[in-house]
Amino acid sequence: MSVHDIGEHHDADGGGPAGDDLRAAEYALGVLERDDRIQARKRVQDDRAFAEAVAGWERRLSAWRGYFPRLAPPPRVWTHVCDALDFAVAPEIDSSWWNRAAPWRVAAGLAAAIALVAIVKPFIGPPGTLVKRDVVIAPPAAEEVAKPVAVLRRADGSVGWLASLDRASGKVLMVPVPTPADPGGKVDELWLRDGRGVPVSLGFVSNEKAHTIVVPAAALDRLAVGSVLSVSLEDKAGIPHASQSDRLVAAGPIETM
Amino acid sequence: MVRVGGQDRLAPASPQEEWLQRVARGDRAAFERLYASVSGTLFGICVHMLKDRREAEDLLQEVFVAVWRNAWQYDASRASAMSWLTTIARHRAIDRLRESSPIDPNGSLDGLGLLLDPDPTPDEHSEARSERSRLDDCMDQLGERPRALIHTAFFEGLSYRELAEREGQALGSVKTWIRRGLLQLKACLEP
Repeated sequence: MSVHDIGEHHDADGGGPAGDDLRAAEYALGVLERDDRIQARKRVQDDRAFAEAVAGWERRLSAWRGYFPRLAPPPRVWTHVCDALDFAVAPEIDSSWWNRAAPWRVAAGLAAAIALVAIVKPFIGPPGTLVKRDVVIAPPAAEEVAKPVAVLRRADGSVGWLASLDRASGKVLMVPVPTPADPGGKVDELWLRDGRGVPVSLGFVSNEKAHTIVVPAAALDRLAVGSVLSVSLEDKAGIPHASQSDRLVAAGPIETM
Repeated sequence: MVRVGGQDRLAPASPQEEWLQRVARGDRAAFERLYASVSGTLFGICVHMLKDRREAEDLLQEVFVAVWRNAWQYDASRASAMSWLTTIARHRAIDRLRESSPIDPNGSLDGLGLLLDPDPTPDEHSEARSERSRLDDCMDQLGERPRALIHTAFFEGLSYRELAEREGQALGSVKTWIRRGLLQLKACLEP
């Protein structure tokens, strides 16, 4: 067989299972030009079989990782990482959930959404006193105070949903940062899994309106610290599904309960 | 790649895996330990591939921000923590190479004032070493050209076109050699 036969019989541009696996190998190896690479990455997100093929090649090739030189980075890189993640700003106010959830602290721009779920840190001072602030918000009623919150982030780090958790009543209030509906007609489904288990569906979750979701009794013990809430795109029919698709859109850990 | 679930392993296979799983739950202390343990390995990849120390620092920062944000996507049943982390660093380095003007293909690491980290790579345990020697054994069965091209592509992050330019070969031949090599490699690793 001449060198050129392979190109014809296993052309990664030509599709087919062999072509798909070659394309996955080319992506994992890193030889694709910019546009082909972007296309392949998009396929990793949309095509489960292709994603599996890429993962297989990455696993095979990563055996070489030990050959790279190992170099100590200068200390300033860690400082920059902390700055970028807003770690340096950790005001010691008190021990409210707000501080305990510091790594997942919501950006200032989401203040409105937070107010909506009534998880605003209660004001200090006698009732009726206006504490001097830029924005004056009425103190929330006692039963609305201090519900733990999980922040579900998208892969780019932006916030997708806030989940206000109420274990006593077995309810989760989901507040989305509104996004356009999936052009493919899929809908968002909420899942809950503990540290090791498979996700359990909590049903449909809106991408535009806040609403309360009742956690099934069987899944209630998963509503605990260390569990993860996630949202994936699923077919409208069949919700709640038995298993989660690969099209995950956001996830976040339960930090406090 | 987005993955969740399937983590049915009872105990983490390595400290890095345990830290990564704790990072997924927002554990900042685990993130610091992970950084202390693997930043040397990842920085080595960044510097080696970008051949520019400042840009490598910038990339390393980007990689760790991505690790913090995407740790929940890590699935221990699919890849070791070190494989997942080094793959992120390598892919992001290649992304930068594709975006930027072509690097000097003959550029070297000399004169970058690098300080070699004296510690061994965190996962240089026997399993990682045996995976590597299997891959090396299979590479040895390839022809000289496919072997050299696949090696250069992996360690330097060069595209088909850049490899063809460097080798002074036709693009079609380079593609064919690499594709044939990859097919043979897979057949050898997974007979």
